[in-house]
Amino acid sequence: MLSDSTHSNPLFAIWKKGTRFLQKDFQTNLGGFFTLSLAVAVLCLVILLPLSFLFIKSFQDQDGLFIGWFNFAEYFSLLDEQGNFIGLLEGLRSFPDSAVAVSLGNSLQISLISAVLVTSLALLYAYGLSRTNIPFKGAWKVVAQIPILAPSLLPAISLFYLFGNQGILKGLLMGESIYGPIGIVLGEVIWTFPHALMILLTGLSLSDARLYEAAESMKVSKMKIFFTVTLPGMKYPLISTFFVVFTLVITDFGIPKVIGGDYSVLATDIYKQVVGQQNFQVGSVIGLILLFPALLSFYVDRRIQRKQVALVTAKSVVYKSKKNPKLDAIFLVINGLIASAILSILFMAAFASLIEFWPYNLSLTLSNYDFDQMDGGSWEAFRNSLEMAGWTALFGTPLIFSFAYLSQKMVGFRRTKNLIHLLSMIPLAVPGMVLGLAYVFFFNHPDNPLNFLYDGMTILVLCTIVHFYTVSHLTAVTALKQIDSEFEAVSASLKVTQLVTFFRVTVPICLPVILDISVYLFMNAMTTVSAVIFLYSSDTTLASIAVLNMDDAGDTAPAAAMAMMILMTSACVRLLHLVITRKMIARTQSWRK
Amino acid sequence: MSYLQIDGVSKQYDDFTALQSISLTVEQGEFICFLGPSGCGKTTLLRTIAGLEEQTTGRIIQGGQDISDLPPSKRDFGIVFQSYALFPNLTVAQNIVYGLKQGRKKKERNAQRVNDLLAMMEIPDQGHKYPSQLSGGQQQRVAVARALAPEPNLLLLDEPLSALDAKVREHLRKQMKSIQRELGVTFILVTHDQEEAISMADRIVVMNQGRIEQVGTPTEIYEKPNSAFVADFIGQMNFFRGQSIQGNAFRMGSSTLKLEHIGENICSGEEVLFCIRPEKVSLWPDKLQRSSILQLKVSHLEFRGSYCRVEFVLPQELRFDRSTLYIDLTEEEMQRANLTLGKNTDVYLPHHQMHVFPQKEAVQAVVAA
Repeated sequence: MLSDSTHSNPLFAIWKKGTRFLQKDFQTNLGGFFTLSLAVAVLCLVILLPLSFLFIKSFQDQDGLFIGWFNFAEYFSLLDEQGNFIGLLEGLRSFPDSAVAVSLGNSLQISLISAVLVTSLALLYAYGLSRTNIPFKGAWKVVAQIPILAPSLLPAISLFYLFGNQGILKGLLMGESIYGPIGIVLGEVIWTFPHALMILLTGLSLSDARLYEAAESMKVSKMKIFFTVTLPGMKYPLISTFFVVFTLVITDFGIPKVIGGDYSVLATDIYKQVVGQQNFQVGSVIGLILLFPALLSFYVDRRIQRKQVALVTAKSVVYKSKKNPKLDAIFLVINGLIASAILSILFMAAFASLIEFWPYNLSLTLSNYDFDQMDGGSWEAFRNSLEMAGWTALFGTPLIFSFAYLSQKMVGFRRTKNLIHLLSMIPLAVPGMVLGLAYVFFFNHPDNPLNFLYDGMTILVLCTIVHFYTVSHLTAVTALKQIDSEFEAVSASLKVTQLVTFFRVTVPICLPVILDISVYLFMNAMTTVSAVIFLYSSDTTLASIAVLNMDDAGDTAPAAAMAMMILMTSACVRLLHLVITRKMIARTQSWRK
Repeated sequence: MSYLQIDGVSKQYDDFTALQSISLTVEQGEFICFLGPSGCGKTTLLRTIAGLEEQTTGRIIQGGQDISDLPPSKRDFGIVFQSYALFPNLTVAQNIVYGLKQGRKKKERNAQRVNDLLAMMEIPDQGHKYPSQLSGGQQQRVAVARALAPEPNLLLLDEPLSALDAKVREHLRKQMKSIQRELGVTFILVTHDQEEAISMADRIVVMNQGRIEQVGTPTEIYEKPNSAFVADFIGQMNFFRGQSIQGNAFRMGSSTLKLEHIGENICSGEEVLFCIRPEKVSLWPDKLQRSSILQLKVSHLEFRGSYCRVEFVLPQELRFDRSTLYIDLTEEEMQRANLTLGKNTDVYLPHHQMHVFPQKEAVQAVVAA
C-alpha cells in the first residue's frame, strides 16, 4: 500500500533519480526488453550452440581432447597405418583414390545431374501450367504435390519395384542397374520436383504481361519471346531452383541409402561413420563438409531474393495466356508424361504394399500393414510419428509465430530484432543430419544442464521444429509484414498493451497463416528422416525411420506400406487443412477483404 | 504557459538529419498544421510528439509535464493515420471502445459513447459493421472517433485525408474543423496539401529539410512569406531577378524601385529575387499605389474555367526559374484588356505586394522544392 507520504520520502526521491537514466528502456518496454532477450537466448540455445559444438567436436578426439586437424586428416586419408601424417603432397597424390574423393565426387555428380534435370522438367511443367491453356490445371498441380507428402524413401522403394532385379520395367534400363547413380537421380528427381515446381510457378506468375504485349506488337516470334522475355525474367527463379534442388539432393540420405547400393555419397558416409562405426568425430567432419553446399545455396538464394523484389512492380499486369492449340497439345503431352511418372511411382508403392509376395504371388493382402510382425517396424512407430508431428505443430507454431512477431512488431530494439531474424535464417542452411548430429553433441553432453531435454520425444520434437524453423518463420514474417504497421502505435496511443493487441488483432488476422505453419510443421515432421536419424531411441522409433529399418532388413513391402501410411496421413492432414481454411475464411469473410 | 512546448528537438538518423533543432509552442485548443514537401520532417516531428520516434536531443513538455522520455502509452494523445489503421477483425463499435475500460458495468456507458461519437462523425448506426464494409471516408471518420474516444487533450493526425477523393476530403475538412472547435481539443495535423492547411489551421508550421521555415496564421503565411521557400511553396508565385542597391532601394532590369517590407538579411549590392503573386499583378495603374511598370509581350493565353491565365515573355535579365510572368484574369478583365497573342502590354507590379529575398538562399529553396 503506497500512501501519499511515500512520494515525499527522500529515499523514494533518490531511488527515482537513480533509475531515471534507465527509465526510458525499462519503463518504455521492460517487458519488451526481457521478451526479446529471452527469444535471442532460446534461439542461441537451440541453433547456435549445438552447431558450435559440432564444429568443436570435429577438432577433438573421442575423449574430448583437442587434436587439431586429425579428424580431417583421417577422413581425407592423410594418415598411414600407424596414424602418422603422410604429408600433404603424398595425400594429394593418393587423394583421387581415397574413399572421400569417391563420395565427394559421387555426391557432386548426382546433385548436379538431379538439379539440372529437375530444373528443366519443372520449368516445362510450370510453363505448361501458367502459360498455356491446357485443361485440368488443378489436377496437374495436385499430382505434382504428391511426392512432398511422403518421405524421400517412398520413390526409392517404388524404383526398386519398377526397375529392380525383379522390376516390371527393368528392360528400360538396357542392362544398367537401378542400384546406384541412376536410381538415386531418378528418386531425387521425383522427390524434389514439387519444391522446384513451387519456386518456378511463383517466378512465372510474377512476370509482367506488358512485356509480352510489347514483344508481340513488334511481331517477334514465340521462340524469340521465350528466349528474350520469359527466360531472362526467370533467371533468378531458375538459379534459385537449381541451388535449392542441389542442396536437397546433396544432403538427402534416404534415397541413396535405399537405392544407392554400393554407390557411396557424403550423406550415407556420415550415417556409416556415426551409426556403423560410432565415429562421431569423423561424422562431424563430414557434417561440416555438407554445410558448405547448403551455405552456398543459402547465400545465393538470399542474394537472389533481394534482387527479385525490384523485378516486380505494383504496376505489373498479370499475364493471361492466349489461345494456341498447338502449344497446348505439346504441353499436354509433356505434363501428362511427367504427371504419369509421378503417379506410377505412387501407384507402384501402393500396389507393392498390398500384394503378397512380389513378383511371385500378386494376390492382394493387408498383411504388409501388420507392422508389429516386422523387423524394425511397428504400429507404435506410426503412433510415435503422429505424436511427434502433433507436438511439433503444437509447440512449434506458437513459438515460431511469436518470435516472428517479436522480430517484426516490437517498437525499438532494432539490433536485437535483426539478430532474431538472422538466427531464424540459420536452420535453412543446416542439413537435417548435421543438425541432428549437433544435437547429439550438445544435448547429450553430460555437463549440459539442458541434457534433461535429451529424452526421447522431447529432443525429436525440438530438433524437428528447428529443422523446419526458417520456412515457417518466413511465412509468418510475410503475413506480419502485410498487417498495417501502425496497429502497435494506435494501441499505444489508446493505452492498450501490445500483448492485448497481439491476441485481439494480430493473431485473428493471421489465423490462416498460423494454420498453414502448423500443417507445414506436421507434414514435415511426419516425413523427415534426416533430422531424427541420430536422435531416436528404441522407444521413440518413428514411421519414417521404420521405413528405413524395414527396408534395411529386407522387408521392402512392409516398408512401402509404412511409407504409404505416412503419405496417406499427410494427405488427410492436407485435406483437413484445406477444409478448415475454407470454413474459417468463409466465417470471417465479413471482415477479410 | 503553453499547452505543448517543443524545445530544440533534433532527430538524427545514421547519416540523415530528419529534424534540426525544432522549437515550437502550441496553445490549448489550437488547430496546428505541419505543412511541407515530402521528406521535410513533418511526420517525424508528429511521431516524436507521440513518442513513436525518439528525439536525439531536445525536450517536449505537454501540459506542464516533461514527456520527452515517456513511451507513447504514457503520453496523452490520440492518433489518426493516413492508412486509418482500423483493426479489420473488430467491428466499428469494437474499434471505438478499444481504448476504453471494458467490463460489464462499463458496457452501457461505452455503448453510449460509441453512439455519441458516431453521431458526431455523422455515421450513425454503423457500429455493427466491419471496417472493410465502409467507404474510405467513413473509415477515416471511425479512426477519428476511435482516437477521440478516450478523450485525449491532443489529437495527432498524419495526412488523414490524403487517401480520400476530392469531394470527401473537402467535406471532412469542414467536419474536422467544427469538431475541433466544439471539443476544444488541440489538433496537430500533418499535410503536404497547402489548401488543406490554409482552410483548416489556426496556425501553419511550414517545414523544409528538417527545419521550420515559418510559423503563422494562414493569412500571414500567404501574405507575408518570410522566405523564398515559403513564398514558392504556398500558393502561386512569379519570380524575377534584381539587385539590391542600398537599404530599401533595388534595381530591376533598367528601372529602380523602393520596397516597404524587406527582410534584414539582404546586403547592399546583393543579387536578389523579387516575387509577386499572379493575382496581385495588374494591367491597369492604381493611383494610390506605387508600381513598377514592365512592357511585356503576351506569349500564351489559356482558358481555365473561372479565370484565364495569361503569360508574358520576361526580358532575359529578369528571368529566374521560368521565362514568363503569368497572371490570372477574370472574364470581365479579359474583355477590358482585349489581349491577343503577341500583343505588347503594360504590366503593373504594385510595390506593396512584392516580396524580396536574397537570391542565393532562394536558389537553394526553390530548387529543393
